[in-house]
Amino acid sequence: MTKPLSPAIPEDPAALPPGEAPLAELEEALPFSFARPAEALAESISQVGLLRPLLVQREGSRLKLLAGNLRRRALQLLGRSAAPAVFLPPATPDALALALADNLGRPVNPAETALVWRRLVETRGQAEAEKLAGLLGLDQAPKLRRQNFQAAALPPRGLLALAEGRLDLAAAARLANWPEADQDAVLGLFERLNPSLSNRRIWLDLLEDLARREGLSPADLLSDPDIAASEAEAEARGRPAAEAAARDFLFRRRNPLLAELRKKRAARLRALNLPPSARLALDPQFEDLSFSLTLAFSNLDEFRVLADWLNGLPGQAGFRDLLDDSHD
Amino acid sequence: MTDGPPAGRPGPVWRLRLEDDFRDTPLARNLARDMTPERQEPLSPADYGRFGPRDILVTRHRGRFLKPCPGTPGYNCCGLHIFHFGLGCPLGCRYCILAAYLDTESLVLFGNLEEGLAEFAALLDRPAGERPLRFCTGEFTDSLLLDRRTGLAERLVALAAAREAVLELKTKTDQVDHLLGLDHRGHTVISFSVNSPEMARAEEGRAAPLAARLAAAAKAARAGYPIGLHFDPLIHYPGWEKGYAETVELIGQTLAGARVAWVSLGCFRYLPRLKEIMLARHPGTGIFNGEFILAGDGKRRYPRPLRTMMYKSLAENLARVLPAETAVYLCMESPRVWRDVFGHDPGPYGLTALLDRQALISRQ
Ligand code: SF4
Repeated sequence: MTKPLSPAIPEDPAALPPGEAPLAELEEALPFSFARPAEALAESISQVGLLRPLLVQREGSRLKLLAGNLRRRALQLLGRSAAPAVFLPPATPDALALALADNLGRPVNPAETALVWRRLVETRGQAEAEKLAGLLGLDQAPKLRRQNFQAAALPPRGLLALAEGRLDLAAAARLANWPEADQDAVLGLFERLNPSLSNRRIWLDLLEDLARREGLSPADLLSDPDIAASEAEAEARGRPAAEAAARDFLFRRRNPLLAELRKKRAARLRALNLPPSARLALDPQFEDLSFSLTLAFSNLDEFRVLADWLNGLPGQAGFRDLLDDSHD
Repeated sequence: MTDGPPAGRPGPVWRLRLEDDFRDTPLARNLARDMTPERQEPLSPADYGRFGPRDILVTRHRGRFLKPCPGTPGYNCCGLHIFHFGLGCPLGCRYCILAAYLDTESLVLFGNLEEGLAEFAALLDRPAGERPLRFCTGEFTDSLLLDRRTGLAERLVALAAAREAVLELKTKTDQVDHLLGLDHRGHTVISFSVNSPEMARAEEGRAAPLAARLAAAAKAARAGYPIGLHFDPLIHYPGWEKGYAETVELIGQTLAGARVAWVSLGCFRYLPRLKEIMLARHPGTGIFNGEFILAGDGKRRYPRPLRTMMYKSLAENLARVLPAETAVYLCMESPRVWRDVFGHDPGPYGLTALLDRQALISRQ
């Protein structure tokens, strides 16, 4: 059951009693509350009322909402048009710091951080924004600040992925520089195949590299029917397999030599028929500065069998080929 | 503020910024002969990023001036020492490793260079060890870019000539005229970094054109200097084989009869963060288009078989145009690659010994 917050609200905001703010007219000073659902808070307000008033400041004829973005949305969900507010005098110093501090006690999602940081830089300038960065949990690293600034330019779909942890900040910042059609194509792919965060970075690397080298756009590359075919072929084995297959297709296109080396090495390793208790570790980077062989056994008899096999190993052409592929 | 381009291409007009401590040093006086100095507050390392490719900053060096080449574990090192006189380079090569370390293309020169020269002379005056001291100046900047004005090489050439030392000046400019009349006694190797004509044009910024570098090498050779050539970085691109063969051909024509002490070969390698920096500065660069692995030293390199193939191709072509006694070596490569390219691995000390021998041949 909803509880009235205040007596009847007059239509004209100027006619509101002191301490009441017209919700529709408030402009968010900082874009906090992105991707935070307001329903639960609305429910709570309807039960126990608004426990903290909004923090508002007049700027000429405008009303800035310094703190309470989520509360305002929750109240609007409840059909309220005004709410109790503390009005700061227009020239209050550090008003923005108050706005930032209001959010200190709760987890702020990465999209909020990015959006707020960008707003601070754009409205207050880099130097003043940097003074406030600590309140936003942004450390001193200029790279991190740059990435936050860039990531804030993502369209809502990308910001949502960032807020929900489906896109890491570095990837989001890169993606924000892409044309919209390419962003859409890759966000669609991420939603469909749900790669891990590290694989998302690999996707972006591959797409950016190929786009640059082949003069195509990432969207063009992703519309290649062969990608869909590799994905479809592996689909029966589950979404991770489909994702890996599609990514592998791009990897082979980007790195034909490495793909060939991998293939050849895998075939040689298979042909070697290692006993299950032996593991030969080959350098995945093909530098081959060192190799290692691990044997697992639980008694002397097992070890004897392995030792016999080990003695014969140097004589096997396949083994020599694995260690010395210079004749490839 | 009245200086011309640094090398063979139109480049920035220099702006000279001097910290007060160094207004009255030989270096500052030399530079101020044709540039108007501007006052510069003392710098901290974080300040470097504020300057651009047209700035020359004269500041204090706080570390040692002479350092051994850092080398890379697992890869054979050439055993060179570095005389550290400055930092940064405005030539703007797209692959320049300095970009990954320094946030600027400005040139920083050390105003307390006299201290460095004294440190160095004292070291050279110690009883000679078993091997000559081979040292260079061009690890963190170009050796000769501003040398006409700083006069540093002349002093180092004289130091090396009088002692058990061999100096290597490494450059991508054609600025050698001021060195031609010096009494070097074969103790100074003038080295030129070379590349294929396409790569030199497209990826080496304001460096002198390849033909100008080789013409300068020929001039230096006529003045009796042993010559060094560094094919570093070799870049894998469509047509690389033909491109590098052309450069070798050009070397054969330009440097016939010259004493080429050594030629190094090193494939393009980079710290991963360089890619982001360079693509932001030069979106059109093609140097990151190749295939790369991540090596144990944290750098990206071409896959070993590809490097081997490139080295072999270069080594075979070079053998056709250079005398057999020229040392062709691999820069920062693994024993495995050495064996695959040359059939032997010189080992960690073998490469140093080879270059020491080469350095000694021309000395008088
Ligand atoms: S000449 Fe050397 S130091 Fe200068 S930009 Fe090119 S690679 Fe860097």
